[in-house]
Amino acid sequence: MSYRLHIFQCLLTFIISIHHVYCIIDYIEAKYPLKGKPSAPNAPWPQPQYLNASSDYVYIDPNFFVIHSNLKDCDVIDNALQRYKSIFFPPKISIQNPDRLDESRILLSVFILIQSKQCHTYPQLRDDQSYNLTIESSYGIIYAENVWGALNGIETFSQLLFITDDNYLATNASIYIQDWPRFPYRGILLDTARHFLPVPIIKQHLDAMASNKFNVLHWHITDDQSWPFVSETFPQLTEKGAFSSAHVYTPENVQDILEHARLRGIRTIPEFDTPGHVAALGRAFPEFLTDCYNGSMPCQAIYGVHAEREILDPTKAEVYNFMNEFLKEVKEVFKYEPYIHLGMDEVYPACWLSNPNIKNFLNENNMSNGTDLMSYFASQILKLMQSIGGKSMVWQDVWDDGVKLPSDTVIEIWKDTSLLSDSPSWSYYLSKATSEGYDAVLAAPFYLNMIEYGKYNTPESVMNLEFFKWYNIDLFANFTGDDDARQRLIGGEAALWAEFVDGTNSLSRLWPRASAIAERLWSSIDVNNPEDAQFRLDVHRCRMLRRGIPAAPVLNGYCGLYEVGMKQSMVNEPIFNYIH
Amino acid sequence: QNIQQQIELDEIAIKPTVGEPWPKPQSIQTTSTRFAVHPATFYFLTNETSQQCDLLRNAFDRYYKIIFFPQTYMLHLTDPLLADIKIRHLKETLRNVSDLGDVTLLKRLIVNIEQPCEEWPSLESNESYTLVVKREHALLDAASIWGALRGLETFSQLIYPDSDLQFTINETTIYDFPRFQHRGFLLDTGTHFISQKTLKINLEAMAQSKMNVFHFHIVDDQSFPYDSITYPELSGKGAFDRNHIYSQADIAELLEFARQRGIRVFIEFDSPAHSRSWGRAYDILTQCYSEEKPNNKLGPMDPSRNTTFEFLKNFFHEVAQIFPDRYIHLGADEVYFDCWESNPSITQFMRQMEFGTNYSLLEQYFMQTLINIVNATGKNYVVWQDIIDNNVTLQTDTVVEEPYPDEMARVTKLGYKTLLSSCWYLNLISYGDDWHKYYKCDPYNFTGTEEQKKLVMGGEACMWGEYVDSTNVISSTWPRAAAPAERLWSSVDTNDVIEAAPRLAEHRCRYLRRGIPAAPVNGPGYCPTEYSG
Repeated sequence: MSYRLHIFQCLLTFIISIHHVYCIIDYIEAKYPLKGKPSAPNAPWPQPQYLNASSDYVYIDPNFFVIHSNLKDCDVIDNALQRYKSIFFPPKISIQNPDRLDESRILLSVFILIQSKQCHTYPQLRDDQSYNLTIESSYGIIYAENVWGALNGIETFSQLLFITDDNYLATNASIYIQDWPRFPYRGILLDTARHFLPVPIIKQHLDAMASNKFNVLHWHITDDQSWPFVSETFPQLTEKGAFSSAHVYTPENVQDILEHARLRGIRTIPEFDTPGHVAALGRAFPEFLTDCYNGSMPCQAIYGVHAEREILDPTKAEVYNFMNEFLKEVKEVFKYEPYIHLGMDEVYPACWLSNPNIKNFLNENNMSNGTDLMSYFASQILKLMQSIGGKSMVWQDVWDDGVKLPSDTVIEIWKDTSLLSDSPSWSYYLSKATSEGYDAVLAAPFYLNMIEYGKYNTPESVMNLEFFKWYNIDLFANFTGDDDARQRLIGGEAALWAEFVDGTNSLSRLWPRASAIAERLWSSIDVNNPEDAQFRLDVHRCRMLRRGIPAAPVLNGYCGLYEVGMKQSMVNEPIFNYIH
Repeated sequence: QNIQQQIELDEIAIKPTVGEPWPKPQSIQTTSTRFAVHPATFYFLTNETSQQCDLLRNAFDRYYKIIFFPQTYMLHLTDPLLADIKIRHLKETLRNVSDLGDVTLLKRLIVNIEQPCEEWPSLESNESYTLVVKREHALLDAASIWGALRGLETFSQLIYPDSDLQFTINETTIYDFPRFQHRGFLLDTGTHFISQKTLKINLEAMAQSKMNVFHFHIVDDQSFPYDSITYPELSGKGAFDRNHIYSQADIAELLEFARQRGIRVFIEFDSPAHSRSWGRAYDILTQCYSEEKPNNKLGPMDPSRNTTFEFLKNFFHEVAQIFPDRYIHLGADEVYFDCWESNPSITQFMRQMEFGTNYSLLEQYFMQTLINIVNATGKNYVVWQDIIDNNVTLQTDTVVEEPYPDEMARVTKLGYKTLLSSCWYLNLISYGDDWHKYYKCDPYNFTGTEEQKKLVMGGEACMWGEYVDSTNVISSTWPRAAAPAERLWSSVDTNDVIEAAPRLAEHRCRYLRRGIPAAPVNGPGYCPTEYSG
C-alpha cells in the first residue's frame, strides 16, 4: 500500500510539472466540488496489481521506436504489434521527434518475452493472463507466460504512453509493474436480437473491451424479436426470423467477428437461448413451438401469462433432432470455444400446462409439473452438448429448478432482490452455486441498459451516480462459500440488453460505464476509492476517444483534440472504424 | 436484388407508419392513390407571382438531396465532394422512369410565397402553409418563406422509399400551422464543449421536427467557448483550451445555417451566477469571505462595482450586434446570496443603497441595471424563473422561462409571458420509453384564465450538458426531443401516445435514413437503414 501511495504522489508531481495550463474542472456543478485526486495523464485502467513509477520521464521517437518479441510468426503477437502502432502513434497527430543526442532520455525499444514460447490460438478460461512490465530509461521488457498475458502487457504499455502539451510522446523513465487479473472471466454481453448491431459497431465494442481488459464477449445473438444468425444447415432461420435480409450475420461476418475478438485475447461465447425466448425461431419452425391454450382453444394468448406460442415443445422428437443438428453447426462455427450458452432462462410453464398433448405426456412419463418438464428438456439438451463435445453455460433459472447439471457447467447469476422482490440476493446465489461445485459468473448488478440520471450526492461526496453504483460492487460481498467456492466465482459480466440501444448509441452507452466494472473485475480488492478512480476513468475515457471509441463523458471538462466532430477526431479514422 | 423477408413487426414491436409526417399537421387528408416521384423528372419551381429568394433556392437544393439521396445528405456538411460522388453512384443504381410502369409521375412541386422574403425568422414569423399533392403537380402555398420551409419539410416526409416505385407519395391535402410560435431546444455548450459539426447536425434534426428556436446556452461556470471580439480573454482564459471555442466565423456560420432552416438562434449569457469562467479573465465576480478574510472563492458577479456594469455594457453591446434575434436570454438562475452576504464591500453597498439585508433587492438592482443595458441595444430579453422566486420584480415585457414544475399559473398570473421547459429536461434520463411523459406534458396544463394562457409563447426542450458531449448528444436527444416538438406544433388534441408511437418510429427511421443517429425509443425493432458509426 505504501508503494502505491508513493507512486501517485510522484505521478501527480509529474503532471503538474509539464501541464502548465491544464484546466481541470473539479466539480459537477460549482456548488458540488468533487473529492479525489486528479489523475496522471497516463494512469492505466484497470489499475495494475502492483505499480511503481518514477517521476521523471523518457521520450519516444516514432521513427526509431522498436517493439518486438521472442515469438516469430505468431499471428496474435504480429497482429497486435501492427495494431498498436496506430494506438501508440495516433494517425492524425504528427508527434515531435525528441532530440536523439540525449539517448538516455529516449525509450528505444520494448521486448516481449513469452516464457512458454507457444503461439496459442485461442484463450481459455484458466489460462495465465499475468505479465510483468519493466521500463528502465532506454529499454522496456514485457514478460509473460503466454501470449494472452503479453497482450495485457502491451495494452498497459500503450496506456502508459501519453502526448505532452508540447506534442512529444512520453512515459515514465522507470516503471515496474506486476499484474494479473483478480477474476479470470471478465465479460460483456451484447444483445443483437432486440436491435441489430452492425458488424463495424461490434468490432468497435471488441476494441473497447481490449482497452479495458475484458476477455469474454457473451454474444446473445438471438431472441424472441429476431434471429440474425445465418445457419447454413437451416437457412430458413434467418429467412423467416431476421428483421430483414439486411439484418443478419452471415458466416463470413461471424468469422470476421470471432477473429477480431481472438486476436485481442477475447473469447466469444454464443448464446442460443431455449426453450423460451424463441419466437423468432418459431417463425421458421412453427411446429417446434407449443400451442398455448385458453381453455379448450389452441393458439390463444393470455397476455401477461403467455403469448399464442412462444416456447419450444419439449415433447416433440423433432425439436431435439433440430437442436442436435443446430448445436453441431454452432460448435463448428465457434470452433475454438468450448462453451455454448444455452440460455434456459425465464421459462414460464403456464403455456406448457395449458396444452392437452403436454398434459398427456406428463401423465405418461410420471411428471407432475412444469419444472419436471423443464428438467426433462434441459437434461436432453445438456446430453446433446456432451455428445458433441461442448460445455454448457446457462442462466441460473434451470439450476434454480433443481435440474442436475454437468459439473463443468457455468452458471450465470442474474437474479437479485432489486430485480425480483421475492428473490434472494445475488450474493446468496453466488455462494450457493459455487458451494455446489459449479463455476459461477455474476451479471445481476451489472445490467448497464438500466440507465439512471444523476449525481451520487451525500454530505461527504458528490459523484457520477452510475459510476459510483457499479464501481462499488464487490463480487465477494456477503459471500459465504469456502476457499474452493471462492475459486469457482470466476468473474462477472456487464450486460447491455438492447431494448433501447442499437448502432446509434450502444458504444456511447456502454463506454466508459462498463469500465467501472472492468476495474472491479481486474484490480485488487483494495483499489476501491471511487473519488480518485473517477479522475483516472476520465483520463481513460479520453484515451478511448483517442482510439476511435465514442465513449461518453463521466466528469465535466474536455478531452483535448480528439473529441467527436473535431478535426483530429479518431471516430471516423478508418483504422479504428470498420465501415470502410 | 434481395427479396426482403420483412417480418410482421407489430407482433413484437411497434411498426413504423409509412409516409406520415412528424409533427402531425393540423389538417391532413390522404387517399390510397399513389404517385411515383423520380429524381430524373422531378423539380421544384416557383409560381410566377411568387416571391423569390436565396433561402428558397437553397431549400430546393437541400430537399432534392434529402428526398432522393438521403444517405448522402449529412455528408454534404463535411465532405461535399465525396457526397457528390456518392450521389453519382446512386444515380446509376436507380431504375429508369420508363421502368416504373403506367403509374402517374409527380413531376413538380410549385411553390407560391405571398410576402417578400424576410432575412431572419422571428417570434412573429408566419409558418402556415397549404400543400396539395394531386396527379402531376403538387402545390405549396405559404404567406412567408418560413411557412414554405415548413411545407417543404412536410412534403419531403410524405415521400417514402418503396420497393416497386422507389419513391412514392400519396394523394394528400394539408393545411398546417403551428400551435405555438416558440418551439425551442436548448443545448448547453458550457459544461461540455459540443463540436461545430455536431451543432449543425442538431440544427438539421430540429428543422426536421419543425423546431424553430435554438436556445444556445453557450457559456457556464465550466467554460466560456464564445470568442468575444471586445474581450478576447473571456475565451482565452475561460475556454477549456484554444481548440474548444466558437470563433466569430463559427458563430456566423451557425447563424447562417440556422437561418437557412428558419431557426432562430436565441443566445444565452447567464449572469450574475453561473459565471465562474468569465472570472478567469476579468475581475467582475464577487470575492467571497470567510471569517472576514477573502477565501479565494468567487461568487456571482459583483453589483457593487461600476466596472462590472461597464464590462457588461460593452459585452452585451457586442452580443446585440453579433446575434440578430430580437431576444437575448439573460439567465438569472440559481443566484445564491451567501457569497454576497460575506463580502464587506457588498455590505457597504447594501447600506448605501438602503437595501437593508434584503439581497433580493441587490439581485433586482443587478438585473435591472443589466436589463437597461440590454434594452438600450434594442433587444428584448428572457430570464429563468428563479429570479421571480427571489421576489425580484421585473418589467411586464419580461419573458420568463419556466424550469420548475407547476409554476406556470403563478408566473402568468404575475403577467409575464412565459416559456415551458420544466417537463422537458431531456438530460434527466431514465430507463424505457420516457418520451411518453414528454409527449403528455402540455403548456396549457395549468389552471388559469384565457388571458393567462395567451401569455404562453411555447416551450423548450433542454439538454443540459453534465453528461453529454459530441459522443452522445445527438443519440440522447433525438428522437426524444421530437415529442415536445409535436406537442408545440400540432393541435391540442394530437395527444395520444398509442397513435403517435408508430409515427415516431417512422420519424426515427427517417432520421437514420438521412444520416442522423437517432436512437431507438419504442423498444425492440429495426429500421431499414441502420447506423454503423
